[in-house]
Amino acid sequence: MRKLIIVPQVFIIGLICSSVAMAAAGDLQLRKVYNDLQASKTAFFNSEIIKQDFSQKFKILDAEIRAKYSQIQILEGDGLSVEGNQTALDLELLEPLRMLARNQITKKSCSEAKHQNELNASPDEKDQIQTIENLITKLCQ
Amino acid sequence: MKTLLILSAALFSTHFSYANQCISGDLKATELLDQMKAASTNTNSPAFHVFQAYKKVDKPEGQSLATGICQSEECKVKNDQLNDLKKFAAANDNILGAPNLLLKTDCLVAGSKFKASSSQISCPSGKRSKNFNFCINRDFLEYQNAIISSFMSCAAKSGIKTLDAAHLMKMYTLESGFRPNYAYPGGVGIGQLTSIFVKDIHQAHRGRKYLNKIAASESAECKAAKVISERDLKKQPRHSDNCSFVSVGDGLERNILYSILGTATAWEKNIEPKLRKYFAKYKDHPQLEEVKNLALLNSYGPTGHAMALLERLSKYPPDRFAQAMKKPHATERADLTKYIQRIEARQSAMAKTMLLEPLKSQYAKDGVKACVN
Repeated sequence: MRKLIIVPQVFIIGLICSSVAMAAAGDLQLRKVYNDLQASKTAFFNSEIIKQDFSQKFKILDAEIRAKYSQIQILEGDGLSVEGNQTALDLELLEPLRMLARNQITKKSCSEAKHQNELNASPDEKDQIQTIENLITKLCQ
Repeated sequence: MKTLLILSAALFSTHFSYANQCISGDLKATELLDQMKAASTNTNSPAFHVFQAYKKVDKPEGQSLATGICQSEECKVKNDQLNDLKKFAAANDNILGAPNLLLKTDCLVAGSKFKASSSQISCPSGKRSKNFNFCINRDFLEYQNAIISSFMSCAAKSGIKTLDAAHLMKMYTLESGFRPNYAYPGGVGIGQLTSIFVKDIHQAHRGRKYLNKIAASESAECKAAKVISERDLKKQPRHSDNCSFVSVGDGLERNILYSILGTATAWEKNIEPKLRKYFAKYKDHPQLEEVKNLALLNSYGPTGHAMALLERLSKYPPDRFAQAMKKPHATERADLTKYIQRIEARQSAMAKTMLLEPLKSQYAKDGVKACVN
């Protein structure tokens, strides 16, 4: 009789543990994808970027972040993670550079990209906004 | 005869205190009320057209004379004339009737009772202080209601998509509590406009088309907004000149128009392109309008954050989207819904502590829609 009670309890605890373990594994995987894309972004901004190769380099980075964001979305399922939220934000903050990569670098496109970056400005993303502004300034010289 | 009576009213009204008690501020600090009064008769001011459209030229003068306190011998002698004016004001109301204001002024009264922790700007000097003593009375809140009503009807007439009146009220309740002389370090006036927000409206690839559209409008609804648009297209107001966004008769009106046009710009250039497929997919969903308004409301802050949130929540149907907009969604360093959460918290506090019955019960039942006429 006692065994009968213990067996289902063990089964339930096991089930919970395996669910938690699976969720933790999923979280780890999501974090790894996120860390990878952050590393790619950092590498891009630390690299030597000149006007001539900017568009090509940026498009590669953009495609990579988008692909990793899609992976994050799959891992998130129906929920929303901090990593997913931050990646969506990062993609939006890159819009001024996307505008420059899409078009020729002209006075007008530079002005519009700078304006977009100003619209994105917020205290919590000060560093990222500044990094993007620096690159726009460099490309638009 | 009517003109004569109005002129007499304007002449004698300096002898009387204002019709309404201050809801906030000091009865002696009438700067905003004085500016409103002067602007209402200045044909170069948008206020003149707002007062014309909402029949406020006659009513407040008549009312203030009829209900004001006589302060000089001269005016005491003229009691008979005052009674005539009182009758005139009442008759005028009955015959003409004011067009409905978009919002219930009681909601603006409730929204104006929150204390601010910023500074107060005096115009035209632009001097800042911590006095917070400018008198805000019901007449002044009704005037703000009339400006909102005027500009919203102009936007609708011109096919400009922006926030609806209820959400605009939510926004102003948080931003300034309908005290248009308030300023924070970055933002000024009723909508707490920032320099980048103002700049955005004047960009050829962003909001300038709306200024052009209104300036070219021949519609009666756009008379007041047209005065500001025409003026600003000739000379862009500088954000650093705070009074251009604060003073009554010009700045307050500009501030409201720009809040409306700024969100319209965000709609056309950011929100609609981002959610075009989503809107098509859920076009018949009853919660879709709420999603649109919350998206517009959230766009009042930094664009990147606002667009990231839309990207994140677009995987949900509108009912869940709207619910999620009011909950926290953290990034590594911030929260994408911080602004909406603050707005909702302010509304909740207003509904619980500032609204009076029967509006309080209506608000509990219908939410902010209870504030719309």
